[in-house]
Amino acid sequence: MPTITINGKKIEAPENVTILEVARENGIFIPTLCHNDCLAPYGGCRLCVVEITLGGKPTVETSCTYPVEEGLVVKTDTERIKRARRVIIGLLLDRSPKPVVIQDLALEYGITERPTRFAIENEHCIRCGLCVRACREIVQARAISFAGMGFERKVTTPFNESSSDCIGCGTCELICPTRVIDMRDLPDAQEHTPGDHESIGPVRSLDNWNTEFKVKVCKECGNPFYPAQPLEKFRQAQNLQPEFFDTCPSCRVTPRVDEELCVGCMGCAVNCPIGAIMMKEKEEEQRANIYREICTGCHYCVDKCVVGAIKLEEQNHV
Amino acid sequence: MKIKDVKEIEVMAKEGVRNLKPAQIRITVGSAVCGQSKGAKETLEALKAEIAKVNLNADVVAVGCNGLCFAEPVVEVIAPGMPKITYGPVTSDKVPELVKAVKAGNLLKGMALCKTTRDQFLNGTAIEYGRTADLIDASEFPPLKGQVRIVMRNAGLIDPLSIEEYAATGGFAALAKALMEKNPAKVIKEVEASGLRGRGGAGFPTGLKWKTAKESAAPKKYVVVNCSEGDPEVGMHRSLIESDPLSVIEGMLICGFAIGASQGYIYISDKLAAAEDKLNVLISKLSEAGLLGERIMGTDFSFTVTVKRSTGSYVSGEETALLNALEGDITEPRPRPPFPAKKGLLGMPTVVNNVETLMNIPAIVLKGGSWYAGYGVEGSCGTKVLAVTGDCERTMTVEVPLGTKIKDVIAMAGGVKGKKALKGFQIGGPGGGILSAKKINLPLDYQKLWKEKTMLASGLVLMDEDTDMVNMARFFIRFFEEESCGKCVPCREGSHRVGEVLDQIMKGTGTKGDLDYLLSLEEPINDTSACALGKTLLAPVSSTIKNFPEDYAKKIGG
Repeated sequence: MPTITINGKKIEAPENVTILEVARENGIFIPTLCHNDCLAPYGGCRLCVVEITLGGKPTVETSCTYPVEEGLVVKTDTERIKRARRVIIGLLLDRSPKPVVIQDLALEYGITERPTRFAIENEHCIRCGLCVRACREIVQARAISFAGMGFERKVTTPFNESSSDCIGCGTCELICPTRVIDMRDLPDAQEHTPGDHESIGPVRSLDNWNTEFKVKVCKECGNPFYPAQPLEKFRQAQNLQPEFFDTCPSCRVTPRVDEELCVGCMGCAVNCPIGAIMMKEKEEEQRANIYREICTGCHYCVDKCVVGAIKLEEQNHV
Repeated sequence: MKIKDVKEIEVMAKEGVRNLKPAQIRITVGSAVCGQSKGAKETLEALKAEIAKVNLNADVVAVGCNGLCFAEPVVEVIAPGMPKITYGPVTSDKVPELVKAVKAGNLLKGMALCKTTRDQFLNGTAIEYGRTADLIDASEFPPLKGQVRIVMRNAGLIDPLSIEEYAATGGFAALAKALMEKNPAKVIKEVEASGLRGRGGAGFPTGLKWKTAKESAAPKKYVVVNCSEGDPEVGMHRSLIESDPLSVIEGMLICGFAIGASQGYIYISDKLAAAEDKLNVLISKLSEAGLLGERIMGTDFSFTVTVKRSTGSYVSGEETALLNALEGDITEPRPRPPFPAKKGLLGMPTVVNNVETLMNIPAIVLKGGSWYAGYGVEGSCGTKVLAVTGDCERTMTVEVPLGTKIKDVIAMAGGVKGKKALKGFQIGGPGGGILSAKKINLPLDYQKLWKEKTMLASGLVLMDEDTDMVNMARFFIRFFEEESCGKCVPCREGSHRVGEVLDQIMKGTGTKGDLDYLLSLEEPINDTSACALGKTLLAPVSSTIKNFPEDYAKKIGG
């Protein structure tokens, strides 16, 4: 077990973890934008930089990617680090002044004024890549990716066309920190043809990816609940009975996390086929949280929970 | 022939020597892409036609680039009894005159540049040519005087597609030596003793990189050649790999043997199509000759080489971005650590070396690390190839021992074009900033250049007194803006904003505060960027503000 020092405090860290993980485990806050515990470290936003010393001169590294090693001395809040973070937040603010996460960071780092010399932009996407990585690593659909280089970089489907790989699971919308992904469930969509239009029933639309999905209607309550196509995939992958997805999660027993038993191991979160489980802080501890907005109620997490903290229960209608 | 034993390389070498100094006349034309752009193809065709017309018994061979770019197309003539004569520029209309002189056994004075009386190769073989000709010797010829050719040992001398000619100059002797001794640790020791540093700019000790990869117990390892050259206005690696691709392949094989890899990739820029074709031809030739594939030279060592075309961006020359691109992913850098030598291509230990670095390897293994370390200065051993370009009298590629002063390299290139004064120069690529002319006494030395906040990259670009340095800074920032991959915030957003500020300064609406703003960005962007592209983003701006404040003052006014 390597011993490292963070802000003067000696800590015995487990093997194969990053500085960020150790810091958070020990109640030391480091800001991040592109990090999510369920995804592999990326190092895109650079907000989590810390000063490290290992023998020689102090260098600046991203704590979310840097593995701990014996004798590492970490400082998370020096003037140099604050200056660096202020520059990053400033640059983000110049392009995306509206998102709440950016405004909060600006407030925290005391940025009240920006140079007026730049063209005013008002974009919401901050190119953190969380949606791209969730789609790839959790959902494994790889429907979206980055296109373009430098300032022109943006998240899109191949050739900006409607993607046949998108399954409409909505994980990208759930994980987006700036709420830029526009996912809508329309109770009754119309298909427009020249001179005519036709009702095609409930539809989930993801305008950012130019995709639209017909949504399955619950046999029990008649509510639309999830795009039909991926449900069949999940059913086969998990060997569920043919009629399993005929009813919506609210009309059958669905998984619920018992927060008393949950140990925050993330086993369920990383294994959920669509990333409907994310971790949330509860009394300074990590607890799994099932987002019912996109949960299909497929039970997969129940098997994956090593401590039996996820139970099937009757739910109230959403 | 198929090589079934390490000793057979010598037989092949003898065959090659007969090519290099045949009984009849040998005429070589520098036909790398640089030569072709000046009409080397036409010269070659004209030579063949003219020789047939006058019934001259001569071989006409297309060779690579010998570095004398200003004299392209370069033609060399080896005739019995005469020294090797270098002519240039020989455009196709001058061919009849040249052939006439060659047939008569004369020297064509007007076009002749220099003579060579002896070529000494790595393996000890020497070729003596005739001695008498009323012409300056190559060793005294100003563009060549002071050069030491280790990396460029074969450039412009051999047919790049001929394995025999490569063997004649000592090619594959190093690999044969390594395979015969069966001691990978010794190879790495020699490379460490040579003090060779990666020639890409970062200057990481090559031996240490190899050692790290060798020490890993992973089931598979890889060797990757970084030939994704992207510095604007510089084509040094293109010239090297086009002129002597076999040295690169031999370097790879030796590296593979040393670290225990059996698969190599050459990641080549999309701008180097000619070199890519040559490599593919050679790979099949080498496989037939028993020098690639299973059981190389009849030993237990197997190695295959695959050529992969790059995605073409500047950042694809960054080693982890390169690995991403090789795997078919987005060309953006990976977090480091883990370094590629521990966890690289497909998660396996991977040595990524650039073209120039690997071309040094056969010479080091054959002649020993201490021989190589004899060139250069402490901490910067061996030689360095530089493309000298920009506002210089003679655009050329030179190879000089490290420690050589920059002003001496400038002298080789004939100084500044049109007898103008030198204002500044660039030696570290776009990220190395622009140094003032006062710094020409600096030696080519990694540590000393790092101290000046620049590095040792592939080109020396001269800028004369008329250069507007604000415009220059804008040019390089635009380059960064276009080539940034966009993964990390400081580089993606920073390059764009810095460009905007420079635009305003160029337009005359800039303020003194703008310069302070730009300078205040330097440390944070350097600290936080993921790779060297972002880390050196501000260098063209901060170096010009510091070295040429008068240029900014003119734009900003009082």
